[in-house]
Amino acid sequence: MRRALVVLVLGIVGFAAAGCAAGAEPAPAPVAAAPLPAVSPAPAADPGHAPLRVRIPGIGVDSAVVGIGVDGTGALVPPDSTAVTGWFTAGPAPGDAGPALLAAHVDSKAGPGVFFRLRDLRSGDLVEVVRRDGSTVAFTVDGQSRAAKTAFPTDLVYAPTPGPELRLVTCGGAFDRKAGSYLDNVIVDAVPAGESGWTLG
Amino acid sequence: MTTTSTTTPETRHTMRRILTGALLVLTAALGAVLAAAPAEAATGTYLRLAHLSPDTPAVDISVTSFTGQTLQLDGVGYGNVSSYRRIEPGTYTIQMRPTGNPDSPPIVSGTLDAGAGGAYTAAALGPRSGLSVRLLADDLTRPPAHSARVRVVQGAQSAGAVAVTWNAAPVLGSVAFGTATGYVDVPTGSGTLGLAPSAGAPVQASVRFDDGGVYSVLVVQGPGGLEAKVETDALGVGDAPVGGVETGLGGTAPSSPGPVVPLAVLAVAGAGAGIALRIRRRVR
Repeated sequence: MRRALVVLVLGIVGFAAAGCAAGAEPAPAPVAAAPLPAVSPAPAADPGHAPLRVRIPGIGVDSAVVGIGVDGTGALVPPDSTAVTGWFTAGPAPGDAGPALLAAHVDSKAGPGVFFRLRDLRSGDLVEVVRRDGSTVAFTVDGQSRAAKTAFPTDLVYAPTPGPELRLVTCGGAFDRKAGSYLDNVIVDAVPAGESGWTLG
Repeated sequence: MTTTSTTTPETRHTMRRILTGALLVLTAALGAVLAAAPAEAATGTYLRLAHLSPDTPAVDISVTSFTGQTLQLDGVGYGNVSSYRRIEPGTYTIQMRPTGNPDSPPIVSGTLDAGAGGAYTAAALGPRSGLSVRLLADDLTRPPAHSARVRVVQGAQSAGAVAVTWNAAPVLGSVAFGTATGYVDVPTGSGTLGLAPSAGAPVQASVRFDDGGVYSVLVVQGPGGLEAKVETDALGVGDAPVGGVETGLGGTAPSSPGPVVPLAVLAVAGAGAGIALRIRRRVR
């Protein structure tokens, strides 16, 4: 019986190790970053609103932002570097009406990526985006969720919004060693900081 | 990491059974907790205000939450539509008073139940004699690919019923004064929106509907006749990426036994084992 217990304990520990471990098998090389979409069906955005930097003081993020797009299968291609943040250029710019999407790596093969601590963000935390025209738009975190990549909530993340909203996305959950991929995405929602009054148009 | 230090050689059969049971139960319970993470992406909650009653003078609009906070927009005249503002989800009383008469009784009022992540339009609608505050829920679901979503709010009494076309194709037929239609999907791009009233001359407007956008066409009577005011309810993403995002290469994934779950399980199970031992000793 004692042997059975030891086997059980070791089994659980071993299972946990296999479920989270990385590095025994080389992860597949990341797909080369897709070129920016040539034709965007989205509203012609003000080029001055393109994001250049994102700052999230609460989790120590101060990162350059580069444009990202989709590959031939329609999947979003993350930035080449795990040290920068990607902006989905076919969607709205941060601060324009609609759901602007910023994605960055939780880690590289060697260590933490830009959004390593994204999961630590809490409601009310500040997110600042500096844009090409020099303006800074401030958002506050509204909520956070985690979803299996196989069940990514596209209809919610990219749903139309009346005002500017921000989606911050990275990886989370268990790491699938064979696929070289985390099983989940962590999604943080943010809305413009401060009060927004009514104006008459 | 010393995960088995509490499993000392003198542990006994009964304790082992308790420990085994505890491990299984705790593992299952923790698994259930981890799997219960919500998969929803929340958004803000939005409200905008509109005046679409042609014979009703300008109004001051107050929006009061049940917690007592009042939001105010003054000087809203016929044909005016406000921007959206974010509000806390909850229940609100909306009151409209003649402009500049804060102490007069409201000429019309309504109640809004604002759900989290929803968008609403509170519109004064109908003739002055039968005025009401219509609380319209604005549809923020994703339109189908290469489509936009459009509805019509008919605020032109002189027009009677209005038929609406998009690039000459019928979109909505016979929209009566003082009513709002549901949303319909339309092809996107630049084109011509046509309004054909049952009374008076038809009008056309050049409009662009974007992929993934949601719009309200407000029909109003202007000095020169019928007008279409196209308001953007929400903007989305035309071709959204497929699936999740590959934003991790595993360099920070635990390579030794996961530090949180197994430790917690074993620590609690070990505590259970200690209690079991103590009970047995006391019984002897």
